[in-house]
Amino acid sequence: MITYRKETLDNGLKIIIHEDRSTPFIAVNTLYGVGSKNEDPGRTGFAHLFEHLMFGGSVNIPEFDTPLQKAGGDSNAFTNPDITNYFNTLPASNLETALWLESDRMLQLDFSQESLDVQKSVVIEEFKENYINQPYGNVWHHLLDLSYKKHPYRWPTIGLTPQHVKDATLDDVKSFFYDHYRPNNATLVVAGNVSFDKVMRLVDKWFADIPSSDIPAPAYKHEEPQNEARFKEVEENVPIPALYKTFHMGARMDEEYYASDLLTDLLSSGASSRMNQELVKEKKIFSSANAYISDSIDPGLIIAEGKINPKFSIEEADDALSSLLYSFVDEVSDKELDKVKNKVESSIGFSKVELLTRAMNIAYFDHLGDPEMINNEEKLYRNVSIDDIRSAAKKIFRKDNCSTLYYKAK
Amino acid sequence: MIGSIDRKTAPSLDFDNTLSFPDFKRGKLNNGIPYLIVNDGEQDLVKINFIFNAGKWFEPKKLVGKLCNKLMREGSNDHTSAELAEKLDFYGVTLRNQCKAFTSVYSVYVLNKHLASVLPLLEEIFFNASLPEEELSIILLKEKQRLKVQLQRNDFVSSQEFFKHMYGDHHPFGYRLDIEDHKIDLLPDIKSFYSSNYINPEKICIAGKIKDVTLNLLDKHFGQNTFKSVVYDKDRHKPNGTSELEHRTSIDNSVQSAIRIGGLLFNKTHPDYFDFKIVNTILGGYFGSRLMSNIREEKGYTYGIYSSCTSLLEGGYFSIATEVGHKYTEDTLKEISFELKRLQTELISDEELNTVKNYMSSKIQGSLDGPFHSSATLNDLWMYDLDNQYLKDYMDRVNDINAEDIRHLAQKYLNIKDMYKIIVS
Repeated sequence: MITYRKETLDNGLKIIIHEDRSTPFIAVNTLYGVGSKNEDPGRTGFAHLFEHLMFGGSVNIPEFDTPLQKAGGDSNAFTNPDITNYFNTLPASNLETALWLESDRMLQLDFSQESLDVQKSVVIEEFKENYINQPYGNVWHHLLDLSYKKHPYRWPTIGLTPQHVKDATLDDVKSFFYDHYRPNNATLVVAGNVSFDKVMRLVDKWFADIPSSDIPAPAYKHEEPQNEARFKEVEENVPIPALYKTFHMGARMDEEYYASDLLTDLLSSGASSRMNQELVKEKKIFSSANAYISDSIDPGLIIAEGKINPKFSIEEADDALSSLLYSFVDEVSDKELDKVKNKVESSIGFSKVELLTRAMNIAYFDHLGDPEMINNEEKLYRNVSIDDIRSAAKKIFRKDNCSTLYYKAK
Repeated sequence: MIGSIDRKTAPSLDFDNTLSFPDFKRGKLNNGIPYLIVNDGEQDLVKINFIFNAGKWFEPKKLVGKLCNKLMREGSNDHTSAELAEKLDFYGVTLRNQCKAFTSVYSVYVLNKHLASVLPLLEEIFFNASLPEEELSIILLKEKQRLKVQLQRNDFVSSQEFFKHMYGDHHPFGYRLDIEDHKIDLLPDIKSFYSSNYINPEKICIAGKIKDVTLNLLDKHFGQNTFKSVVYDKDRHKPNGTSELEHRTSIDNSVQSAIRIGGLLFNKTHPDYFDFKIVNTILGGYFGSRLMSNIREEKGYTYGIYSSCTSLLEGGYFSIATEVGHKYTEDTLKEISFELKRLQTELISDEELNTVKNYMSSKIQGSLDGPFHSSATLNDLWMYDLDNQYLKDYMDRVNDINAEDIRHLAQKYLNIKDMYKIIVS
């Protein structure tokens, strides 16, 4: 049982405090409700570039990391399609340093042209390192573009092209900041060796006077149901052909989410999973094969993918994977379902060991609407019945809900 | 309201550099197998590391250690590979196995309620593996496929070249893997390696919520047979690095250069090790480091640049690693050289040194925070026969070191002209 208390300041900032007296550290996690889905289609990659700028100095403090390191702390952040999440770990005695730093960059960034120019270059190198100069690095560019037609999930968080990052201006930075980086669009979690009263006193001191503002309603369109099989074939400079298939699934807060997630666990969680046993070990068509969910807040995807062994054509691989996906659920037993639920139970247990992971998860669950999910998520998985699994599979694994990418070797 | 508090001045800092060790114990199972227990954490689970003297150091031939480590979990005399996998998955277990430089480690992550069911399965893997040829062929196929992909990555090729240059092609840490090395006729070597090197775990490290029954279970499954240590010959291999210090090569269609700079070093039992760690932190060991500030945060040449010193049971190595856009390659090399030189000539400012001291002190404390960090730290000390005093000495040295000591260490060890430079464009 993870205990916590939640408060909301007058400016709308949500605060959650999780006391853990067994550690000398604290984790300070700030989640902003903005991700790459909030980007302009002509300025993709911007939310992530912006995340870099959040370390480049705020109105009263020239640079974020140095004072934090001086306080014995460490910091990082990530951006995904739905959120941008900043996290710091430091000795509990220096809690105020983290709150001072976080509050100042929430108050106002420095908006420096120099910092923007350097971070554009850093992000372009990141783009090259992970998406261009990497075998299969551009697969998400192809796959998301094929799977989504309207929703901004159609581009990856890194952006459609380095050119969009190059084109970003200081005016873009300013308006993005005031549109999204306001206290009423954030959840602050403080976890570790602290008392509720002390945190609240300091949070009040550093955050209460930051003005809230109207957060513009999301302007993006939602995806319409897919009603025809989609297909794309690319030839790239890779040594081994790979196959990718996506299927639309529900949203994070739909009841069906847990059944959908367990479906992918049945397919590929652990060495005993269906895809590994049938496709990798028995038929030896794939050298690796996996299925997983995109885990987005708006309706997401189930992805099934694999790298294909020599002697098999990509079409043969597609037949084998498709026939597994479209039929396996009829054979799933209660025991097999229990097996994947046991694995989930174990993963959730291990995810509660690290203080920072707890802090991040509490923030994310709060953003989803209910921090108590940190404690009852396991039950939600346990409650999924074999009928739920079958009806989810029937709904999701349909040919006309499928996008197939043949990623061929040149 | 804004402006009513002083936002320009940093809040005052407070440090307590004492180290708080978790509840831990070193002991021996009934048959004498040494164990380390760290009892810490609220969750009702444990992570257990089974450590074997079966790392690359002991290999009779290229790849045998790694393949044996992978193959042994693919079937026992009592269960097929699929049956073992099914059972482990049913108990929600994550089982990780890795063949490292000196040791081969099996780590099991398990809820306490399933421990009694899981240990017999590990016993089968460790002592009754059937090592089937069919399963080896699947592993080889996977490994070849994986290697084909890795050989297209600059960072992989640069690190392979780096190790080859430092240790030589015949050393287990230096050999280069080729597709043709993945041969099914390695099976007899794997079988004999399994019989000679997986007699019993050399050490067991348990971390998490420890119950009364935990040790009894370990004794039941691992404390019965006579304990026989696998002999570790420290002179078995000697590094035989190349005389070519700079090596440049390229990969088709690449848009970045992977750079590795460094060389062989001592391990953590060496008197200069603490000082080296501190100098390494200043140079490239944290986000605020000189390499990161200069090459990423000022110039934007890279997404990241780091330096590290790695301690092995015999020796170790120092390395600087980064990937930069092609057009920045030469300037990056120049700046790395400049930063090394600067450490050898200028004295570090009090401001920067204090930041590093605070940062590192907190990292040392963090290495004892929670069951998994603390067990990793204590286990590491144990591998070198060091005790907790070592960590206290490290903390003291971090807080005592001065600017002259730092410059002195840099002068002694950070000479760019003696280092290997690998550039894969």
